[in-house]
Amino acid sequence: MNARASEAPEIASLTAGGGRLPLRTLLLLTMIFWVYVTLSNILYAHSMQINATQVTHAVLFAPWDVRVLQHILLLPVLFACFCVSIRVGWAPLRGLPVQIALGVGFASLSFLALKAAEALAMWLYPEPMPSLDDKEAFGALWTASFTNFFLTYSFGIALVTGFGLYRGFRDTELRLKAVEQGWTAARLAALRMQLSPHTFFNLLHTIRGQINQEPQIARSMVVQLADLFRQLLSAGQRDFSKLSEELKFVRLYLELQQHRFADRLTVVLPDPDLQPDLWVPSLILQPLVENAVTHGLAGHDRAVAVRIEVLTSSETLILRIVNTIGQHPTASRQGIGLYNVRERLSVQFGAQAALSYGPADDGTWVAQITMPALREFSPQFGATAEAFFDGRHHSR
Amino acid sequence: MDVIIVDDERVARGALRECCEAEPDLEIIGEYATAESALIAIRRHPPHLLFLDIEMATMSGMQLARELNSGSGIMPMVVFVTAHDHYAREAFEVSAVDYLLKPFDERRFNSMLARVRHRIGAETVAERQRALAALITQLERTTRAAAENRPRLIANAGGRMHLLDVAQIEVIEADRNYVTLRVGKETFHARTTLREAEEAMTSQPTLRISRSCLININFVREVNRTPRGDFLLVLSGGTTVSSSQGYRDKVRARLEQLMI
Repeated sequence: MNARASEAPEIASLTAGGGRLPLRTLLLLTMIFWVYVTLSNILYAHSMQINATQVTHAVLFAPWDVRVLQHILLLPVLFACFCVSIRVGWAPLRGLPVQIALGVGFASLSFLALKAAEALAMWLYPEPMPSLDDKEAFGALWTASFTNFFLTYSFGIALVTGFGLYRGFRDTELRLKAVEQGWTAARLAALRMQLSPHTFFNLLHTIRGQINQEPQIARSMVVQLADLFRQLLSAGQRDFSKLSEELKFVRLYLELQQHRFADRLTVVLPDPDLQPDLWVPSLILQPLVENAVTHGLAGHDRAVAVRIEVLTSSETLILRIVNTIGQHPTASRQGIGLYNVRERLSVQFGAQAALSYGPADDGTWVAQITMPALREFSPQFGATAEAFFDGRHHSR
Repeated sequence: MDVIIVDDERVARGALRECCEAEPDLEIIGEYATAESALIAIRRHPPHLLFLDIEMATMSGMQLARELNSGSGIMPMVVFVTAHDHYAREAFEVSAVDYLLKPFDERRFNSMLARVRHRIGAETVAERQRALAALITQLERTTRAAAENRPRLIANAGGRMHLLDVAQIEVIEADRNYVTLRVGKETFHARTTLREAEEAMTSQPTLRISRSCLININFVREVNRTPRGDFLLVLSGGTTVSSSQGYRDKVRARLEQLMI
């Protein structure tokens, strides 16, 4: 619950930020683009002027400083257009006409900006400049400038939109990852608590029956049930438990069940205190043991033996729960408990762990967990000594 | 042995009385529903053994024990009776003899009583030492249980999976979709996010020193500063990490707080 609650703001911030560029980024992007366009326009005009000198010495193109001024004047207009463009979006009915109008508007202003730049240059340098002003040429020049800048504007808008889309895509990916990880944590927590309510009510009923018949047993069952819940609570709060603790929990559970089925249920369990120092996902055995008891007892009235085996190598830990079965074992054993165990193993260990179950040759049912032998990391003696000397060396 | 029972629940007092009555040498000289009334009675006539509920309405059993501990020199053997298992450490701090978890049965009551008798009968030095050793073992068990309850992270090193106690971890660094953990000279990788790892580390005094780096303050061995003012922290395992500009002030505030 907590994990999910704290997940929310992060996801929300990603959603809010997705798709729309922050103004600073947009400004930076616009400026880089515009510097490039300015340079390319000046160089183009310059090269055309050089070509033209073969024919005439008249100045046909505006000098570079006027062009720079023109582009400086146009930059705020461009930035404003980009801002509006991002805000409006590309919806066919509402967005597209506005986008086109913005492009047309910007391109129309380009020639006026050149004229304004010329006027400004004249004012700055009072010496007479070669004038390009020609009433007849105005229309043609305006059209040429318009087409040129309309194309430039289109490139710019493609760049800005593309960048926004890329950011949106990246944010979506991050958001997905955050959701996925939050989900994993929540799922693990949900999968842990798996003592079936039936077991609990049945145990209460047994206690109720014993209160008059054998009050002493009733009292000790209440205490055992309390211990069971205490362990269930503390194990439910952590991802991993010691194998010995896990076995103690299962032993307590089986002891309680034996009170219910005293005449039918026998249990063989390895001594929890003699187990190697290995860790297992907490409460991983419990669903399998519960299955073994309920399915072992189902469908007949003879005795049932439940046996738990622990096999370890340096790399692998095998936990085996074996129970005897009646003549006609219940066909479907894919209960929620088995599903949960498999899910938890796959979340924690991926392909390195497995759960298998099925009937064995000797008339028993076997459920088996194979998982990595998980040890707590402890620095080797050599490593600690080295760190110690290293430490002294540094502090000197 | 004179016994006083303090519990705000009538039925709970009854259960204790039943257990005591089964023992011929225990004599109940009083039952009280509040710590205040019990305190007056205990001062007037101190019992040998005091059963004390911890969570009561006005004054807690723990406060009553402290009160007795601090003044007067009256100190009966105190056995706390509670449903919560997290008071154990505190209980031994006020020199309780034992700790009885609710619900209990005859078996548990009797083993508690055996320890109490052992304690009372401890007259020789050796016996007293044995009683003390038993107490220490019990305390160690609660400490170990606390350590086992700490969250653990599953992490890879050299193609093997290990389990790391969060109290061992010196540095956690985010690295795309996994985190790097440093324990001493070893480096581990875990498939989790920095935020999740930070959540698991809540029992530890951690400090975020940059957007992608979290350290456990317990392991800081040396603090230096770069000419730009960033902190360079050397950890026990020899790893050096530096704070980023955005976290510099927070790091400084935390380190200053530690110096004081």
